[in-house]
Amino acid sequence: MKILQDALDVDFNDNYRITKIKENRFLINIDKESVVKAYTLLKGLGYRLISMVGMDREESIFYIFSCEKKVVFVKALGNEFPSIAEHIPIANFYEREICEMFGYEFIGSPDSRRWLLHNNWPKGLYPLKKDFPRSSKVPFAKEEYNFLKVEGEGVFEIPVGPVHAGIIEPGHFRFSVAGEYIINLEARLGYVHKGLEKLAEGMTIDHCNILAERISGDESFTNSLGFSLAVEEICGVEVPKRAQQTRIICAELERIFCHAGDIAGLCTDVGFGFGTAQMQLSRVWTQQLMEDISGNRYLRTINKPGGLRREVLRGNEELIMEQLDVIEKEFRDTCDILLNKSGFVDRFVGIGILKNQDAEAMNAVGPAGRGSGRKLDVRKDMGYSGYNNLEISIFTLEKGDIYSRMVVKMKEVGESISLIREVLQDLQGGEIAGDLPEAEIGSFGIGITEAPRGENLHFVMIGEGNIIERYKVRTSSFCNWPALCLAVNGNIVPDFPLINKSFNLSYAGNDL
Amino acid sequence: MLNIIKKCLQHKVVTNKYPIEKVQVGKDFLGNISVDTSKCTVCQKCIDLCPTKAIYLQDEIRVNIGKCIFCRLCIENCPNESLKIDNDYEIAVFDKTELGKYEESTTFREADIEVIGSKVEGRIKELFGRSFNIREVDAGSCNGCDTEVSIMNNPFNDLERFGIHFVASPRHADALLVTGCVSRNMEEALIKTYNATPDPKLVIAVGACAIDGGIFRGSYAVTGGVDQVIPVDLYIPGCPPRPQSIMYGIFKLLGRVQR
Repeated sequence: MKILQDALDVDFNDNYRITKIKENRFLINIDKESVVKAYTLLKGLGYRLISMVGMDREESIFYIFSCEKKVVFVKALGNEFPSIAEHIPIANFYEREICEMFGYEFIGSPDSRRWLLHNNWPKGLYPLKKDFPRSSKVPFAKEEYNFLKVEGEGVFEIPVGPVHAGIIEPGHFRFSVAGEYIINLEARLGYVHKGLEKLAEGMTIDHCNILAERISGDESFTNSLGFSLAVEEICGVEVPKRAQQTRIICAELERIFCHAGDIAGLCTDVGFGFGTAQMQLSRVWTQQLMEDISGNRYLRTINKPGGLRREVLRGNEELIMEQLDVIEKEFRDTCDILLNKSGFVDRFVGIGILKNQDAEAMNAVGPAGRGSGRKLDVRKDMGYSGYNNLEISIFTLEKGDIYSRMVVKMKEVGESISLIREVLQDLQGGEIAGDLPEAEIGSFGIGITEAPRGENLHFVMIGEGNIIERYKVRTSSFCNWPALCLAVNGNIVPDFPLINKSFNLSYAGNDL
Repeated sequence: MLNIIKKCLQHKVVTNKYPIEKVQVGKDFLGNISVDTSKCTVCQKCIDLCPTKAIYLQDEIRVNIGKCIFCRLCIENCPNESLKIDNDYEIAVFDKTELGKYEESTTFREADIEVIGSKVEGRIKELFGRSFNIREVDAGSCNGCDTEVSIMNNPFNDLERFGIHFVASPRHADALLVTGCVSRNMEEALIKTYNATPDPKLVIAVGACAIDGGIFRGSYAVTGGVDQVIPVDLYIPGCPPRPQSIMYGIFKLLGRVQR
């Protein structure tokens, strides 16, 4: 806090107020005019912008920054702000979202088109405003979306989607190509926008936890964990040790499940059936294990704010150990064969490069960021849920191509397996849940977790009667989608499915 | 090359024998919920707690499994432990009202879609008996259902052994398999996909969201169920339904199960 305060004193004189909310959580109130100045200052201190949250009860925006364990909320009142997109490009997407959801203006914004609400949404209606009824039947407006136009001789456009050829979620991609090469890719998402943040408002904590599990199906557990961390932070409760350990095991199982699926997908996309089938085996066995211990194939209905809803590890310790051996052997053997197959590896090297500077600009997180040399892993940085007691190795590669992302994922599976073993050997007994005291009205908290795809962020504000006043989710997919578009540029169209699969982002997690 | 062959031969056949033999499910697996009327005191606590209003009072407490998202809140909070759970996942139905009460009836706009061939019941078997092509459409799911649908194609379930394929275009499809609550932005795309599928065609709604909007029901951006937009022939409850549950539904639709 001292460093922050000193830096603020120099630049802001008295035009700020800094409060320590909790351990490692600071709130800085500033004028909306000095937003850019605050951004530059915090960036200089090593902070990165991880989200922007719009508020309506009191017209304002929270700019959320983090640096290792510390999180800084910069609050600026008003409904018109200077855009910071020029300094940090990912901010443009937060701004577009806030603009359509709240109607706040951003002066100097490079791109103010719609993002999640499509152009069928009438002008002047802002769904996250408190006076907008949740179940409104909104008429369809007829307006076209203007894709970025690339002009020049021989440039043409390829529209793809929203319904794709595979069994995947919907989204529209607009390629501007010259011959085979992609000059620009614009992803038009928002097709599965379900108004999740609005739905959460007015829900009880228990119901919102169930909603959080359904943000993105394959990240159910981590999202529920993120929401729980936020609520626990608000209520100031410490989760029992056994619950923390169970959480780690579940979160790591989910990571194995996701990563194995991603690599299977890459094998499918290069037509290597052997790899697909073998990776699917690791995946099936992981899911079978998840089902055997918890009864739920996506580890839902286990976690809740304050601890666990039910005991899932008792009596299953041996089963987990045995199955992990089987999964590890299968996974490692397959990876060895895959990585030694030059025909397979050649398809991935040097393709879909996400440059480190682009990864920084878009705040690319998770394996996508680590594959581009960003040493970011919330498990280590934040040390939530008892991860601080474990030795976690972060794997980074510099090149940023498909191969890097794939290898990072392969290594992370091995790391996850050893983490689960380590936790299981040191399993503590005792309670699995503590009581959750009623939260103060207007108190807010943040839960940041490392989902399989990267850093997920849950911002929760509690209102009257212990119900949710504001729930903001920013999944890793939100940051990684714009990064993916940058990685695609300059490649040939047939490589797009591969690049897409190497990120394997969630559409539902982006659109909410 | 040799190491690949060796690796392929390493495991015995992993494909399960479903539907000849039921697959082994986890011991806490939740397939179906019903109310034990002998224990229930009609305190209605579960009705208040249910996030999707799947539990309602009609003479006695009933559970509409079509709307249920299997969140276990009712089971955990019932003072009399009167909610019975079993692991029967074969619960697909042709008519969703068989499962319980709904607030709204189906209201797809006939003007938007060509309804010819939506009712082909008797001829289904002869038409699609041996080969069945499905186009999957995600119309606003959380990707849980989609993951389960894609898992049907892995070596463990291997749906293709029944002659059932997932195809890349609706033009090649006999049926649409729709997941998700049909978001506002997907409504038009779903109708277009439906119209692009040649007649006669079938529509399968997979998951609580596709049946009635699930937990997303009542949002400004959600239509609330596939049958609000296009006619549906089969409903598969679950959140998400397990692969065998979806397989059972497809077999039932094709008249290939006698159970």
